[in-house]
Amino acid sequence: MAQMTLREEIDEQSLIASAQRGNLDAFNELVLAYQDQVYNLAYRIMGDPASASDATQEAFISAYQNIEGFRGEYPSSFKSWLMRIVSNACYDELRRRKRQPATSIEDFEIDEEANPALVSEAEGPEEVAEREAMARMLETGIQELPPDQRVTLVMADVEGFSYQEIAEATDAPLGTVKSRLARARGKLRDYLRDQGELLPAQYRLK
Amino acid sequence: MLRLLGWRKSEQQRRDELLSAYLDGELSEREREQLETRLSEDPALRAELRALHQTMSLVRELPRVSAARNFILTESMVEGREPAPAPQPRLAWAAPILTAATAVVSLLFAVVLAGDLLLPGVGGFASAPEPMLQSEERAPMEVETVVTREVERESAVGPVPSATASSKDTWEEPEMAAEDELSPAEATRAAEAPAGMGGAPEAEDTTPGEEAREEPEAAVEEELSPAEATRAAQAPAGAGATPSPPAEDAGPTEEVRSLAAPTTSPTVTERFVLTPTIPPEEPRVSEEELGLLVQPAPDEFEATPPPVWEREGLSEARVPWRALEVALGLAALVLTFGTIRAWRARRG
Repeated sequence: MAQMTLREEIDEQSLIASAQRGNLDAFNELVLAYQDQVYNLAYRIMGDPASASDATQEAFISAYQNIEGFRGEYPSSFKSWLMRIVSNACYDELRRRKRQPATSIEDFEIDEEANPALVSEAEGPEEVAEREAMARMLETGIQELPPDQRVTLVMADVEGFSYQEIAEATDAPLGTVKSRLARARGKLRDYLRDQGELLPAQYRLK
Repeated sequence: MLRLLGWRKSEQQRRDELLSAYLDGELSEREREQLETRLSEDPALRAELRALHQTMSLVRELPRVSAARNFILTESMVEGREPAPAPQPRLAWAAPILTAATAVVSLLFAVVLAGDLLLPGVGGFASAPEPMLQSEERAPMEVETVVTREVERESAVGPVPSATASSKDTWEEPEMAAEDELSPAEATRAAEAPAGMGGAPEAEDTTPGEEAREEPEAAVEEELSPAEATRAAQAPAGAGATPSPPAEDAGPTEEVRSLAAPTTSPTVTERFVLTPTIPPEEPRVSEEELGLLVQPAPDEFEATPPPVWEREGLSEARVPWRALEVALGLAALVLTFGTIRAWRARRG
């Protein structure tokens, strides 16, 4: 996670203070600053753009409604606080869905094609194709994890949260976070191994 | 599955946890040294570590996805900023405590009520309204005498127009309360009651208000529920002590009202003359507070003669007892609702 400059930090503090007094414009500045990160986390947990958008919007509304409760001395920064809210929103949504059948893999593939953000420049067409194939494969593997493990894995390995931060966000003891993460990584490793030859050569597990 | 088979994690799971925490730098110094020793001796373990590390790297290298749109909030999306959801968890947290409190208060209520019902010396509200019922039965024969007395009484009311004017409002109160607490079935039965009084033609002229005013007695007759009985026992008191209505509808109203008054007893004649001297606010206060202040402050009554309900079987000692019952009953109700809400909050 990139470190903020002192200047940015001061600006952020004053925006937070304004938002706490009910200034929606100030809060929207914060939305613009963090929406990509919030959305990315939601997307990696939920697995499709529509659910990720819903979770992101819900998280920002919830953040605004609860911003009075945000304290400067919060163990982590405003960003962590925000990420915690969005991961909770995803977590709740996944728990609600638990009873319903999961979205099919085809849906993810269609969503993936429709997402232009995945295309990055400075790569040849083959490399891009391989990268996309790998990303799709990995995403499918992540989506196959149980929600608890998925949220933990995404927070740790996509967003780089510490065990402590994940424990706070998911309301789980440290030991549970540790074992969920190990299980998630182990399952994903096994999944990639099973794919074997399907994986682009450079990504194959040795 | 692992848990069903026992608390022991599989060898694979324990190894993955160790390697995973190692890669995150979350092992203690001693654990880390032990693991590194094992790794240097065990090529298979090294391969596992590599595979796990590669998996993590692949996840980290997943392309970052940009927000598909702006998520700027509009005023309409956040209308009436809700308070932080703190109250909800707090209520949820209080669920067991509220449950215990409800149980304790309900038990107290039951004990006090049982004491009241079973120990004649302490409470005994069941016997309290009886004089009223008896007098009601006797009343039709006495109507004529009462009507003549009414005329005398009217002249007594006359000089205090302000008292009668304000009493018009308060007059409705006991009736409303009585209607509230009756079930539809009772209400119907009670509404028919005046006709069933038999022979008293005055009953047909009864205004709706007057019908309702007799309901409490019917309710007491049935002794349906403790709460009803408690309140019903006060309702006739309110009605009996209420100052007379304005002169213009004194005619039929007063006649029916007299049905409840045993004219054979000297106290009743007295009551009619005395009632206007009771402050008109008194019935309103006792009804509005729903029995929380069942007993008006004693000094309020020192100047005026005790109201009829106090003389007709409700000794002063019983009134605080009644107040305790009503307070406990209400507390039990409120706590029950609180408990239900707390458990709901807890379930989300």
